[in-house]
Amino acid sequence: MNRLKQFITDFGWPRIIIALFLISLFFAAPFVDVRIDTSFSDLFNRFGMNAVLVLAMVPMVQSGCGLNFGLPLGVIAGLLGSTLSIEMGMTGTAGFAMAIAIACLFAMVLGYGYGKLLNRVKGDEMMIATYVGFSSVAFMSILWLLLPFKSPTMVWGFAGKGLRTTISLEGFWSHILNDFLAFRIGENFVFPTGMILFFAVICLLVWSFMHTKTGTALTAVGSNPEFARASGIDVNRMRTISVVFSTMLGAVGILVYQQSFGFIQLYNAPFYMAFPAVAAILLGGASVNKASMVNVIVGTLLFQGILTMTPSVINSVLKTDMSEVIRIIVSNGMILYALTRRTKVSK
Amino acid sequence: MNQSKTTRFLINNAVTILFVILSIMSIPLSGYSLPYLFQEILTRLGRNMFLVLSLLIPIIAGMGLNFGIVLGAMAGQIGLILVSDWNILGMQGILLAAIIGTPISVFLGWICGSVMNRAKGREMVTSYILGFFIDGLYQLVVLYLMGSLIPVLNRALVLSRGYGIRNAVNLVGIRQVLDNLLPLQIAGVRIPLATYLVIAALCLFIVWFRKTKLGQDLRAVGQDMGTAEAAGIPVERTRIIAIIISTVLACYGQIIFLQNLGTLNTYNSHTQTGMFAIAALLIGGASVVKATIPNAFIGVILFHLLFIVSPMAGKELVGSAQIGEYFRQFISFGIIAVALVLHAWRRRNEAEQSRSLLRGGGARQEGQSRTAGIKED
Amino acid sequence: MLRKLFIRILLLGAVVAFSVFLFSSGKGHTLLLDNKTATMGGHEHAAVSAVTVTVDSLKPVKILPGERDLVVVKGVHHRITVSGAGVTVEKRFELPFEDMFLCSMPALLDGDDAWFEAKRPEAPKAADDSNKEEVPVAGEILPL
Repeated sequence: MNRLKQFITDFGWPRIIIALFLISLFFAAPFVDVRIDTSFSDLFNRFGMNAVLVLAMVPMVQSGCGLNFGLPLGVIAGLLGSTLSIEMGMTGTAGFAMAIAIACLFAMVLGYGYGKLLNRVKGDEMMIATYVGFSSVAFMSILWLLLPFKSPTMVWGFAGKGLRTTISLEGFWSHILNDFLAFRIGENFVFPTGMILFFAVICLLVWSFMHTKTGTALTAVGSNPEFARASGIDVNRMRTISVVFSTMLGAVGILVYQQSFGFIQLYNAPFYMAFPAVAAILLGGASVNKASMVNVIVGTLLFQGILTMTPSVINSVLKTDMSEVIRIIVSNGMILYALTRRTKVSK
Repeated sequence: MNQSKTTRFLINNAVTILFVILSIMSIPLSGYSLPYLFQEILTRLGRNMFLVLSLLIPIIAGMGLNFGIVLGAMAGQIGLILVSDWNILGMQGILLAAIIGTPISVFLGWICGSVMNRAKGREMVTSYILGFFIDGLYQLVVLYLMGSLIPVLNRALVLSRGYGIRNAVNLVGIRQVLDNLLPLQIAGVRIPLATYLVIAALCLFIVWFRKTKLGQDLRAVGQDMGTAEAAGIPVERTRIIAIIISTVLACYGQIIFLQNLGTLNTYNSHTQTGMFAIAALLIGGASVVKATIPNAFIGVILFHLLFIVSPMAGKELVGSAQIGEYFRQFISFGIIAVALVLHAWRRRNEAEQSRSLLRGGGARQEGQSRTAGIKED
Repeated sequence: MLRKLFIRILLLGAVVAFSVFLFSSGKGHTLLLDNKTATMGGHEHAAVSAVTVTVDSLKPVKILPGERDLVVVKGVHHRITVSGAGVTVEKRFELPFEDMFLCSMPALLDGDDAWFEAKRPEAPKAADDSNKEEVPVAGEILPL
């Protein structure tokens, strides 16, 4: 009994409620003519799409920089990678690899600057990150219109100048990961093996990095900056590394997302991309200064589970689409819960 | 010595000066005539000042930028929806909407203040997210419950599916009612006198409020929570009151805003409220810890000036009005980012300085500023 | 303590009373002015030749036989002046809380006290142009 109570306190009531809610949705599904196999298929697909973006939260949380509300910067790096890759006309695996390469390069640069900025403002990172993210998206919107892209699939047909809002990846590398080693069960269930494998690899990478000397130093900086400094660790350098790492993961994350979605979304799309990732990792049990791989996996599963099941089930029951409103309430509620937990804020 | 005074002035007001320069450059580019701009600014001042002023009190109380004024805006909108449903016209409609919105704002403000108290040191992010959260609840009520569980008499307000309020509510009954209450025209320029009088009344209220016991308490809490607590001030309660006042004022501000526009975008009108008001205040030279009425006044003028001219200026400069629009977005967000950075930087500098002073003996632990209370974000 | 409570209840009462006042004096009413043959309160009144109707201080409206016109007024107390067929009738009247009233000019001219009655508005059958029923947090696009 004691262990159960301990588990509940650690896990948190909101999480338990949401997990139970999700399970009940799965049970209710067959009774309201919602196919379980389609649901699971959707769930795994969405899990794969979003997991890397959620993973991007981990480095910065661990190093004490807080939740990365500035994820849009990483997304922008990813967008630059994909658009440039298409501009070069590369397709298939080569195109995707090139996109990742370019994106990581941009992410390193952007992440470095971003990290330096955050080091000057320790303690207020989250709000500043949000607005730095927003300004960058707005600034990039100007650039998408002005940069001399030529590829006919990307540019407005009319004026021949400026990128379109949504660019199709058909013929390039749409579903390149999803389809790799994918298998079907029956008519409605497709498991995007490639994407899940890719996530597993990245997860392993992150995990191993966090257990290297640098990674451990990073975690030390987040959990006890005084001790870290006393041990001779360069706090600022660790934080910058975590920000760069986070931004790079964000860049790769949006590329994984795009290949599954099949489209590149520019202009205003990156604005709010941080919030679902933040909510997901918090839902998975992370706090403002501690996050692990388990948090990422559990959180993404729960969050995407809610997003997949609520439309189908609740819509069938109430004959109405409440998914959007539920998503807003759940995701922001989780973030609020995390923000109002009494934690030792290390400044 | 003189030189350092000028440089200090420049640094302290960098943001405002930058904006003035930008505006001066953009106005001739945009091609708008000065009389037109003058009239537009007068109108927008009347429309937005009340909302911006509602931000002052939380700043005085040390709670930073209250992104939670969105909550007050939503409360005001609920009032307006009901008043439109009941078809109440004229000033009666406005007053009734305000009366309906007040208890809702008080409740929401109380929630906001309480949540912010539980997240000391992170008030701004928390109020920001809370805004989204309550927006979700607002949509739940307005998009699903109204028209079904909550009876709506005027079916014209309801979506075609049978429940939920329509995306746009035409406020024809109360359109510009406050603005035209005391119509004034000087040399072809229309001035919404009644609205300005209301704004002036709010200014007087704020000035008077600072001198009351509650106002003094608030300022003490804003200076240092620990000292205020030691002096016997109920810190938590005072902070909540500050937020409640701010939320209620935002409710009225949103009503004034919407009566001028004449249309309520049920699901969008409130979302930008917080952002625009905060950006305007910061542009006017306010900071996260200090804001005055002149800041609000100058800020609204400059912000909206750029708002009006940037699309056309963008078109002239680069051939695309869309770019002007994105540029304006970039500037609005950038301003807030810059102000937040400056504030954080200044705060760290102060902390560094006081830490180095004390490093001699019994240095405080890193991570705990001053006493129990941690200041705003 | 008790005194404070008493004052608060008094203030609340004042606000409620004020709200009721706002409601009734601000309520908008649509008056449908008919010059048609109608049966109001059991009596039939024939449509007359063109009538001129003035409600409160609004512009006079001319209504031809068989036609209907419309005015919007605010509040409870109103005055209506109708002239037609050589007869002029002026009446002061009070409106209850409904939105819309059917007013028969012939009945009014005949001196019938039941010359207006509340009309239940029909559900609008107009095509709804708001297809956007879900309003996501701006900019966020989630694939299904």
